[in-house]
Amino acid sequence: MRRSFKILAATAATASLAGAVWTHSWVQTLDKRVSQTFSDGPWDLPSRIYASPFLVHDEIALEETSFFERLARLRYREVQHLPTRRGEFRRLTNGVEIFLRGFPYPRKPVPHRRLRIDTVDGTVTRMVDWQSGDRVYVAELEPELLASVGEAHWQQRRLVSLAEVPPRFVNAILTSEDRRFYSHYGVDPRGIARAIVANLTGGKRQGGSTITQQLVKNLFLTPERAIRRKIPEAFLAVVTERRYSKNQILEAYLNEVYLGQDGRRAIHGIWEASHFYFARAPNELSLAEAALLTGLIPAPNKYSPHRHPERARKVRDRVLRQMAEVGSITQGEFARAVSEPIETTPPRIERVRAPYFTEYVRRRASALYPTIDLKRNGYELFTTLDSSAQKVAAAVLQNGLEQIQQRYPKIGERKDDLQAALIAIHPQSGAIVAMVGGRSYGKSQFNRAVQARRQPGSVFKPIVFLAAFEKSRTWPTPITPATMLDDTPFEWHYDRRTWRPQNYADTYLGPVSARRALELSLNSATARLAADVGLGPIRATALALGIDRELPALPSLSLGAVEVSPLEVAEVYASIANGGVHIDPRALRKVLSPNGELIEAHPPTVSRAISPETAFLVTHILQGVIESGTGRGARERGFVAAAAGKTGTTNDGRDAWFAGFTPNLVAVVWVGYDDGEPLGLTGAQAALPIWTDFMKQASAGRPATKFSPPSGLTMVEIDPATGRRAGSRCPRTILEAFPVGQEPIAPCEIHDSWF
Amino acid sequence: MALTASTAAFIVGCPEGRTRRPSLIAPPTPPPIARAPAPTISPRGVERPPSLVPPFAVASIAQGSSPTLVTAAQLSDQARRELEGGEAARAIEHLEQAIQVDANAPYPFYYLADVYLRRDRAGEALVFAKRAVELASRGGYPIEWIAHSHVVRGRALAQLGDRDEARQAFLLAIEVDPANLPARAAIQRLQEPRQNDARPNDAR
Repeated sequence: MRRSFKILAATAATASLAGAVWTHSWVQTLDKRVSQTFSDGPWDLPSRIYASPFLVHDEIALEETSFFERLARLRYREVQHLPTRRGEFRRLTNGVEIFLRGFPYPRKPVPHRRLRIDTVDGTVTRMVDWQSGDRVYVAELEPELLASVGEAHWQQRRLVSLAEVPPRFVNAILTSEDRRFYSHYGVDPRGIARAIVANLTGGKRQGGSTITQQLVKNLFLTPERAIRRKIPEAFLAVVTERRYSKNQILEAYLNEVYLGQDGRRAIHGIWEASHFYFARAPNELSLAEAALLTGLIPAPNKYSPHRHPERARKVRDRVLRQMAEVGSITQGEFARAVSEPIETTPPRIERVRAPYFTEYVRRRASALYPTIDLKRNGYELFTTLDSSAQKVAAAVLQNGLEQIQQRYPKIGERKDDLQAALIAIHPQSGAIVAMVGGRSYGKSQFNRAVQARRQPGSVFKPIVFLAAFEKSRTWPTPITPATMLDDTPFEWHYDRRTWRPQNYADTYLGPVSARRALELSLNSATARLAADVGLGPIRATALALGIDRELPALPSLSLGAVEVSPLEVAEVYASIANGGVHIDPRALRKVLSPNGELIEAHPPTVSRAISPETAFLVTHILQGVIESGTGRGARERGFVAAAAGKTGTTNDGRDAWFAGFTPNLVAVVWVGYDDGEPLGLTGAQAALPIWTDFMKQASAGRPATKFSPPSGLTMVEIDPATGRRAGSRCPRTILEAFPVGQEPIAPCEIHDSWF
Repeated sequence: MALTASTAAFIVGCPEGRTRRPSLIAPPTPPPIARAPAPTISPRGVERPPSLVPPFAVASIAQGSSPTLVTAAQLSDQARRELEGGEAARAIEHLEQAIQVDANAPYPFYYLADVYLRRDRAGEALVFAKRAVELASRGGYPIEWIAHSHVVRGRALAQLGDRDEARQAFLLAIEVDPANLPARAAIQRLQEPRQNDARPNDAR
């Protein structure tokens, strides 16, 4: 008997010891898991890609620049009273009152401000800060979110510190979820007992989980409701409480708590939730709004104010009542809060879609930072994209392709194969303001704006003229736009070979001015000019302007027989538009940490490619392309702004191009098939309509600007038929630009002669 | 140690002594960025001249100027203040905005030249400076502004080591505005090394 007892005791002791060892080991494992998870950062914070902030200033037309559409996308709320809260605006007969939100910037965030915008016929004439009465010259609408890096997680989260959350909001959560949070050790026996009693007595079902338990459940466990999950949950909660302070746990909870669903995107944390439901930061929420968010915690989708406003009101009122009961709020505050209507912003505002651009940015960023950091560290990537220009670009490209297919049935047969790309650049800063790399990102992620290599055809010709004007400046007889060229059949002998450029339709004009040769895109005259100048200067000019590859030393280069991307073409034209200064195109402006600290800025990189005088000479000719040359279709389609541009078509119409610019915006459009099959259309037929529609809409509502000649040029009235100074009898004259000292002196002899 | 303590704490109850409080929200790892440190002395050995940033961009606006020019001047002036406060990145942002509002305003190009000079990117500074000179020379701007544009061009040339051209630019500034003291000081600085260079010859 005694022996049996001894055996039993020994067994029990061994079992107890084994149990203690196992428990110790298990708790150690849990502890390690908790500490590792938190030290690594418990959440993946996807980096966010933003568009450029929109500038509001005098002479901007609000409707035409999509100001109100932008406000809607930014989830500003239109009110009928004087805006009193951030994110509200009121339309007036002659203006707008708006309470602008601030947004983060390195070291110095852009502050929120109340603004009164006065307009005449919809155009801004004056802006005033209505609190200080100060005149405001420029205001910024916060940048629109374009995409996140690592959206595969289907979670959005931005972290808030406990200090950023109003105490009243914290009180609401503690009152509703865990009143003894500051006094228990992770598990609340009283809460559990109360829940058991309530559940056994058939009362309202209650959960006994503390905030710490909820946190560890969300972070480490599955959502199943079973006793076997409750045990590790309790252990994890205690271990977490041992390791971290109450405030740290509460802060983590506020950032982790699940608060709803935006389509496939899970809303986690109170920052995301307050923006999702109210388009406000947590510290801007009213008491009623904070109570509503708190009430959502047990079942966010069941109580969603978007789908079930009445249920949402009930849970909100319940939270407010509890707060009044424990004395967190007064009866007066309770009464006021419950009388507030349930007002939320619409659940889903369609973002501007810029998939090719955001992928381009992601790749650029991946070259600077490890991809894992981009997916986890919550960087803020501020880009150069103009969200409204992007929206216009996507729409006109789709519409343009559909019109081509309707008008040309043969092309319509290969409906989905017809492709296009559009890229737009602000020439003075190199900022990429719009980018569409194809007709459907879903079907093809190949970004034709950047990755495609296509022959530019005649779009290349301005480079030949730039090289000619620039190089011949030191010649005894410099080439000017008025220089007469020979447009007749021509042979270029090189390396024991012969190249014979042909004009379109094999038509030749004989003697023709350099201006007219470019305006009408005459191959033979251009090739002769290239032969005079030499391929070396042409290649050097192309490289300086932005072509980023080895160029063949072949005569056909002068007519664009080289493969380039639309982005490179845009770079070249941006350099011309920018007075000969090349600026590297930029998509990424700066990168901020989640705390708003500047990690990296990307200021423009500039270089002088050609002289401003030469750039203007070609700009002036390219204006003629649009006024009376191959690009005159732009005027026929109603585009009236000062503009310059050039069509491009390659053999059999494989590639249709139009590249052009106003003083402030460059855009390049390419249309063709990926497989290089002939399209059979010219640049004027296929690309120019898309370009025109884009430029009309993207430039609308902004102050009109003109091309200004630099000081080293003079404008002289000449006879275009002779290239000489116009006489009184010349039937047609034009105003031509010349470098000072190169202008024609002799008058036109043909028309001034009596014989 | 922490593991043992926490395990023991669980077994015997939770004591109050909590020693380690690491943040739950781990700060993001700083990205590895390879950036060249900004040198304080020009690589070409030319002493970096003091920044000018004349504060009269706004004051120089003529009556009846276009609203976009006024806005560009305001933004440029804001950038000037930021430059003085050491916020170059923000200043560049505002200067770009100024150019976006009015690409023919000379002010932002002037200040961009100044920013790039501070960063020892003299080649690019020269591009902006030339643009500033060109735009300011188109008319309608006070002579002080035109002179300062020449001075910033001269500074860029000096930093690039082109002393003769730099001197010409400073002389031009004085010609445009005889009261331009920075140009005089810059010429003085340009001459000083030459005097030093001349000493060995004098000794011979």
